[in-house]
Parts: sequence; structure tokens; C-alpha cells
Amino acid sequence: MVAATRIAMSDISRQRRLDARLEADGLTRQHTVGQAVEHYLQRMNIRDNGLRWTAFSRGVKLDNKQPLGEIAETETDWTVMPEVSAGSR
Amino acid sequence: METVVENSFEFLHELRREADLSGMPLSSQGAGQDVAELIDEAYTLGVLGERFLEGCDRLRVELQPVWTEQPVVKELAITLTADPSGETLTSRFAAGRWLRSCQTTALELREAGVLGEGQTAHSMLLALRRRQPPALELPPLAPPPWSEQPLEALGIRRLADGTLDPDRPVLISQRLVRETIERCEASDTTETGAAVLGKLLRLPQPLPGTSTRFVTVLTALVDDPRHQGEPLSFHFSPAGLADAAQFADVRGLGEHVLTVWHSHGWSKACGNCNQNANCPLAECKPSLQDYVLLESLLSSKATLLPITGRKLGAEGRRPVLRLYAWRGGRLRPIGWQEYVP
Repeated sequence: MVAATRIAMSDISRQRRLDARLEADGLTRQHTVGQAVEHYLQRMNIRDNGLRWTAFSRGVKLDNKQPLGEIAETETDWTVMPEVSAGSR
Repeated sequence: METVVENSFEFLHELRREADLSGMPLSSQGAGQDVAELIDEAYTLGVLGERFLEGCDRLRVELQPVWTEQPVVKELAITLTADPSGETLTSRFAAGRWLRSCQTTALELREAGVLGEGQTAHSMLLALRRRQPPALELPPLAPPPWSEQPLEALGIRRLADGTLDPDRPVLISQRLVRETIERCEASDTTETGAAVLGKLLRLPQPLPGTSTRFVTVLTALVDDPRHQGEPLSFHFSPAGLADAAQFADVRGLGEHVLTVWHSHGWSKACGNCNQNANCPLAECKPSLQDYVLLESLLSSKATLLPITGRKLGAEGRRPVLRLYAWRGGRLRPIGWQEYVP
């Protein structure tokens, strides 16, 4: 496996996007997927609203506890999404 | 692009019993992040109007409150100036996230009995002049991705019914419009919804009657059984949306999951939902819950929100599709034109 050197995180619409180089842009190989998601929310000025957030790579949900050092280079384009509801309530 | 904010105010939002500053506030919170969102909205508005795309190495942001009575803000004027092009754009905002926060707080205070049922609470934005105001944390400002393509590249053959807003033209597939109405009607008071595929195009020329070459095209709904509806609420499954994005890739048209659609309920038994002022169903307007959805799942200020449901005063006995866009710090209904693939 070739380890990732960068992570690109975006929202589902691809209209918000953050590229982070590992060991250079506030994230290291020791950080976890969950911590990278928190980093994305903070940098993009998105409030977590108490929601449960997850990252997906090529349609597959990533484990929030997985260290970034264990992410393969082919799995570095993430979509970050919360569990959220719409509605007239 | 470097962004420089020229600001000499600390922003607070308060909820009060009185419409002025007499007495103690019911709640008082920092509103710097809310104001930062308005800067993002002002920038996105400029970009969609084809400004700040070139000659914008640096963006200067100037904030100027328009007072009700100092320090109460009636409107916030945000002026963006691009360097070195010198292009400038001023937008005015009478609303922002603070209004929704205050509404939520007021509901909580009513539930707790602090506010009585008949009591009014007033929300207000305050701007306090400071020598060293807290820094406004802006997200990286960047244009949304677009394709330089004619409409034909998305298989659009003919434009049909509808009216375009000159500064925010949106085209929606005739089939998508029909499906949202049929599905809203069929699922009755249970809310329903789906991912919406689409694409932002920059056309060779603006469409007739419009002032920008940027056109948002909403092409198709992508359903998923993992999304779950119930009366008053519709839950979007992240896994379902991720699969919709994969589906968009397979279609090979360069579409993305640009937004999500949901209904606000309809009554098949009655069918008089558009005429009955006492109908218990909510109209197809964004709720506080819808704002949370957009501000978390789809936080770009270029995002559109389609909602189907009842609209008081609308003609006919069928649900209505309305489309909302960010304008002046809140979601406002905008026009669109149907297209025939």
C-alpha cells in the first residue's frame, strides 16, 4: 500500500473543498479520520450542530478511528457528511 | 486568493423582551461567525455574477452597519473589492444565522416557561465598536466548480415553462419537476425526498433576460431506500447520498449531487391544501430544520434548496415545487425554467 501524503475533503456537492498535505497543513499521519473531519469543519467554518459526521471515499464509509497514516493514496478524496434531517418540523 | 477583512466591530446577537436595549437580554451570544457567513454569501453572489473570477489576487472586505439605533444593526452592508482589478460589489444583509439562532432560543425559552405563550421576544444584531475586535474566521473563499459548456452538452434540447431570475438562472428538468410533485402527492403527509444531481455551467452567452453566463442545471432525482421519511421530517442517509454521487459519476455528464429535495407533506384526502388557510400542514418554505440541513450538509452559499408541498394561494389541487437560494442572509424563493431533454 502506498500511504497517503494528502487528503482532499469536500461536501457532497463538491462546492466546498479543502486540500490538506499531511505533516504540513495541520494534520499528521497520527491524526485519525475523525480528527481530520473536525479539522475540515473548523477550517470551512461549518458548525457541527451536534450531528454525527462521517467521511466517505469512493462511496465507502471510513472508520473515524483509523489513523491517516493507514489511509492508502487511492482513498484520499473524501466526502464529508453529517447524519441530518430536513422537514417541516 | 488572500482575503483581508476591514472591520472595527464586535458582533453580538441578542434576544430581548423589549424591542430596545432596556433591561437584561434573554440571551446574548457572539455573532462573528454569522457575519463571516454573510461575507461568504456576498462573495458567492459576486462569483455567480461573473465577478472576482479574474484579477482577484486579494479580496478586501469592508463591513458597514446601517443602524436602527447604534449599536442595533438594521442592515449590514458588505463591500468586496478585488485587487488588482478594482472591481467592487456591495451587498446588504438584513438577516443572518442570528435570526434562526434567536428563533431556536425563543422556542426553548417557551418550552422552559421563561417566555409565556403570548409574549413576544425580539432578536437583534448588535455591532460594538472596538479598537481590537475579535477576528472574523472566514472559510477559504473559492468559486464553486463549473464547466464551460453549452446547454446541449447536458442534452438540453428546448426550454419550456418558467421565469428566470436575471442574476441566478436555474434550469430544471421537466421530468424532475413532475416527479417531485407526483411523489409528494403519493406519499401524502409522510415527507419524502431524494438526492438531486446537477451541474453549474458557464454558457458562451447569457440566456435571454439574464445578466450572467452562469446557469445552474438540476437534472435528475436519485432515490435511495435508506433515506427515511415520516410526518414533519425526512432523514437523508449519508451512505445513500454517497451512492448517488457514485451514480452521478457513472452517468458521465460531469454532474454532482448539487443538492437534496424533500417534500413538506400533502393531504390526498383533502386536496384543498393550497386554498385552506387553516390546513395543519406546513407550506413548502424552509423550516429551521431545513436551514440546519443546508448549513451542515450543503454549506456552500451557491446551494439551492427545492421543496415541494402546499403553497397557500397557489392555483390547483396539486403540490407546488418551490426553489430557494441564499439572498440577503436567508433562503428566498427564486424562479426557474423547465427544460426538455
